[in-house]
Amino acid sequence: MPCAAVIRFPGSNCEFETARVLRNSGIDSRIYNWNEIARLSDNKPDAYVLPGGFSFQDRIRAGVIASRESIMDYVFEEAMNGKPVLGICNGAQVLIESGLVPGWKPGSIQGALAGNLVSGRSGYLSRWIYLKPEKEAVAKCPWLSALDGDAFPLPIAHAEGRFVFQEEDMDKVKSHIGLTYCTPEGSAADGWPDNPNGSVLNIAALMNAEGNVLAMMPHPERSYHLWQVPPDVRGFWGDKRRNSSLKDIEEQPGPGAIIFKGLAKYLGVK
Amino acid sequence: MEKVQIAVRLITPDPAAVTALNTVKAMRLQMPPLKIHRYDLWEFKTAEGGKETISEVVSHFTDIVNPNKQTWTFAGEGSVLKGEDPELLWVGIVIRDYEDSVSGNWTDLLERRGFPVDSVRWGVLWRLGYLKNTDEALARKMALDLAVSHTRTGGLFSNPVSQEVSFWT
Repeated sequence: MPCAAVIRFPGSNCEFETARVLRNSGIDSRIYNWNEIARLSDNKPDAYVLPGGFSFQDRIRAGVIASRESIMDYVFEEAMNGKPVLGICNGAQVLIESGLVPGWKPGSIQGALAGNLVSGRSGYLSRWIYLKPEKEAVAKCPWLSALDGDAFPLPIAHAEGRFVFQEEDMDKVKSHIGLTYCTPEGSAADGWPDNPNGSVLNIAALMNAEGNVLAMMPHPERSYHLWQVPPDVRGFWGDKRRNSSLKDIEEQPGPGAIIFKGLAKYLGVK
Repeated sequence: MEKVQIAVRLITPDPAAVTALNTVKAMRLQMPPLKIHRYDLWEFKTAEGGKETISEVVSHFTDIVNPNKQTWTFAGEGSVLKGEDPELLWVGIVIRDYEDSVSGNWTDLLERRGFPVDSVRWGVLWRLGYLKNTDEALARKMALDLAVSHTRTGGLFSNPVSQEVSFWT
């Protein structure tokens, strides 16, 4: 059975549910502390997930301290060797600060996840949003490979989730987009509320050029089951949640399951 | 138009400053700063009243200064701030987001509440304390190298894609 490593830093808080949904998808998963490099390299996992939370209490800025930990040297090398790496929320911030994404020059900081920029409010925001995958990303990113192109909802919960790039890189970044914020009908988001943080080009998830490293701000592990979808979510998934029997609500997968099923398919899980 | 700056810091040791110092030590620099302090730096442009107006603002909003855990002072540029070791050479670096909603929202809020404040700009002031006999130009260069993270292993305090750096001199 393939195995995925979930890397826990001080302040991570989504490691258990992330490990559990990987197991539910047919992938053995283990949680490794940030200082367990020897154990990690001995076990040679097939994929890596940096979970959400507040690594090192977001001190200095979100993700920067974790990105300098020695364990990230190992993850960096594995990413360069083509192993799938997923950063969710704070994990995405760690990947950006590591220079793995967008990764034109790996190790160089070429993007930022800046503070949410929404008129009239600032700081932490937690809500459900709709996402749409880019065709190219579905073709080359293991984590997105099971998506069918339709819009689907996931929850977000962050204060710094606004993808920003240098002006001269704006064209180049388009081929790295994995997921974009959209309306429940699948049209491009036109600002708040469908784009919840002011991210440029409505970017919600960004990958490296090879597609094996994905930094995504929404939380797929928090929407793995249908019962996790709030009944008031608009569109197909809200309708499905409202119209399902109690048994189906408990047993059916939610919209986030497809991200982990994509990895399972990529790793050859039957 | 008068520009008034206040520097706000925790009464207790600041965990972010402690982590910054530990991270800088791990970077094994030839001449690292010996002490690091962190402040919220608020810059107000006031139409009238200056310091008096800002004192009133501070006493109204615990989001700017929470007196249970923070202390503040008017920040005259280049000064050694209260609590800093005078035996060190201090270099101040201000980190601000190119675009941030905090500054805009506070500007709107203070206008709605009737304070004669034209604009608010929020940032973080890092004060790096080097050995007293360090050449000042060299200290500033070293501080600037630390201020900007161009790579995963170099620089620390700002992401150059979304943040600007200036000396607080």
